[in-house]
Amino acid sequence: MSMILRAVGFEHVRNYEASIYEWSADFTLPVEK
Amino acid sequence: MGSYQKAIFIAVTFLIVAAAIAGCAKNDKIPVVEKEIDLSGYKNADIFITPQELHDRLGQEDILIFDANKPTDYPKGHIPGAVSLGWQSFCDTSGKIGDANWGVTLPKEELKEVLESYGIDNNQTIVFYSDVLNGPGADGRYVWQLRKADLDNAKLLYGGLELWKALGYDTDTEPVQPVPATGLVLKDYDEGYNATKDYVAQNLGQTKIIDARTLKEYEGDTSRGEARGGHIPDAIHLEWKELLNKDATPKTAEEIIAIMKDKGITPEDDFVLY
Repeated sequence: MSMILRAVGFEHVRNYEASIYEWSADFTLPVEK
Repeated sequence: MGSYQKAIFIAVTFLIVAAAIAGCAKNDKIPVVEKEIDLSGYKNADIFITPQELHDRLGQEDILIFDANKPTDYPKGHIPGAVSLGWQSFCDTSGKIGDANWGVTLPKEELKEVLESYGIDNNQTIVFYSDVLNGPGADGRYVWQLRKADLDNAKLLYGGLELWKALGYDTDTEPVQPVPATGLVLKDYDEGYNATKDYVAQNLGQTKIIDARTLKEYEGDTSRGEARGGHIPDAIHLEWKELLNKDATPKTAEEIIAIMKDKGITPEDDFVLY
């Protein structure tokens, strides 16, 4: 999806590659439902 | 004409007619209007390659094709000449899901070796495709990984395998082995492509974040292995499929800009996607 956005012209999109898997496994960090 | 020659003449005529009928039948698979796809509305259209261009270049030495579908789907039909990559061939998958660096792009030197083992050098056009609607997009991920290492010849097949087939182009079931290359040069990764955990944590509340998973996952489903259900605080939900048409092609630039504007993001924004 980030490459389609770059093709359109969103040239400052950052892909958080480790994603929610890394984030949700770090219990010092907040998640929302 | 003797009876023997007559028999030959009739047989040859029959074969020509049969071949013509078979040829017509084959052509029936190709849509009546096979117009060239116009990518000019996309600012960075070089990220895409059209199926027509790829078809024209099949078999040439300056192009490599990689299938990013599941390895079990690859033998069911792939673009002729395409090598199977699966989902995470350029990632660190040591350890387990949730570990630091699990599923993250290999360090530059290791990535270089893997890419060379797949025959990639700095001169070829490198095409990635998948069955787009079965995503979310390992093909796009590969293009992202190569482009952040400055391989700007990495391209995404517009419309994926779905459009390729819809245009009547052939697929092949024979596996293709890569021919290793040497001498690949990668640049240090462009960190503008990337957000780390620390980057996201430090910019919480300041940078916009898009959660591209399904709404169920955004709202707490953990069936893909998330340690806790839910989303990063203030992340905006926009499922990846929203940028695609039903035929697997990307929506137009105007449509995508409108969708993003609706989510509060303009092309000038620096934002995070996961």
